[in-house]
Amino acid sequence: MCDSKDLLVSFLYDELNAVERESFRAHLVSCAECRGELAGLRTTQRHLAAWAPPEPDLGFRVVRNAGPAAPRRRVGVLWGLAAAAVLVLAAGAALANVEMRYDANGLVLRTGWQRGASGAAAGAASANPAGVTVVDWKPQAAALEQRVHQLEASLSSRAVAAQGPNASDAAVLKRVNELVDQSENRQQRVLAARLAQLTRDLDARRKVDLAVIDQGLMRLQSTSGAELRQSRDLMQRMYRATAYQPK
Amino acid sequence: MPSTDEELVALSMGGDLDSFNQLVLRWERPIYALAYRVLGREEDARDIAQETFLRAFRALQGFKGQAKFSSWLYRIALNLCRDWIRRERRTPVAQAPEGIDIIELAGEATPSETIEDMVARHELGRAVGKAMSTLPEEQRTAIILKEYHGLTFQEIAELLDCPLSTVKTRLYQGLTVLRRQLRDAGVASTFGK
Repeated sequence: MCDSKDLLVSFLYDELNAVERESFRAHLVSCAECRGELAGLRTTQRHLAAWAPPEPDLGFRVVRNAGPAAPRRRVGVLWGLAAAAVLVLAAGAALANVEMRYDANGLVLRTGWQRGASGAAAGAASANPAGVTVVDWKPQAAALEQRVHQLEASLSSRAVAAQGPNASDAAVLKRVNELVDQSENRQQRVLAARLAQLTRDLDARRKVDLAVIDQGLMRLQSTSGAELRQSRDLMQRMYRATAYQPK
Repeated sequence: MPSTDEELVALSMGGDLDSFNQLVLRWERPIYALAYRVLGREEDARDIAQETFLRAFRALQGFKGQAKFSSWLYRIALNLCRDWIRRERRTPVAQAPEGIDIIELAGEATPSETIEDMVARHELGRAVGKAMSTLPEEQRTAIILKEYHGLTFQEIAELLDCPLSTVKTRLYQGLTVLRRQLRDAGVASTFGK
């Protein structure tokens, strides 16, 4: 029995170098056993080519997991943060006469000393059709403004008491204005951060919803595929029934 | 111009999900085919293929590129197949539908192939699948990787963690058994001309 099986397999799969290949070719000329075996294995290789897997229904796609659906508590926290942000901005507006309005046109911010006519709707909070609560900040702003005046007066009197009759009222007022500006800037930064977070959360929620819809569509498609197979089976049975020839 | 696997892997590692999905699209069929031929079960092969890509995605940062990306995928898929066989304590089966689906075959028709040829080809495929399912797992896997995926002896040896000579022995023994079984089943005299 020839013991060139290792070379035979390598020759079969063309994994010999040129020298080895020529050497084995020469061996085949003189070895009928290897010639017969090689022919048999090549036939087997041709047979193997007929084995194909069923046509798969694949289409895998990796999607980034946006995390589990946000619990209701989280939504509540979000709206709480949003409401807090509105209140913070309203307080700032009371100090710097910033007008904030949320209506059908969206969120409007206006700064300046002009007193617009938008204060007509004073009173309790109201809700717009989109379900977003709009807080009327005018009374609170007025109260805060009054409080600032009281503080200014208090600071002035303290400064006078502390520094004596030569202290300048203008310097005290300047310091108060600086503090107010700093406070306003801080509040605007906080509001911007809160709004950015809100946008991110809403975006994540949207992605989760889209993924759920996508999965639903895939399920629907696979159901349609099953129905198609059933129809095909039925047609197949009908074909066999009609092809049946009684002897 | 299509990107290479290496380029797509690099982009994927940088967080580009579309690039990874291009790799999925490129390799999902070979991986499914590998799993199907190892297990012989269509649905399980789909699951294995899906799990292979999920694991690859999760472990992508650990892929250092010593091997080809495809070899890495093959390794993951083969490990999953091995786990499946161990878990299910089953030997692979050759799925054999009760009859030939004429309508399905007609859809695969090529201008040069008659319906008789197509039926014969499918019968032969079933016979091969049945014979393959009787082989020991290591011989079957070596033949699948060589015959259907065109891996070199060296690549197979690395994938299966065995010497090169062992790969050749497994291929020779497996092919010899298949040859005998197909001949006994009357295949050799009917097909493959």
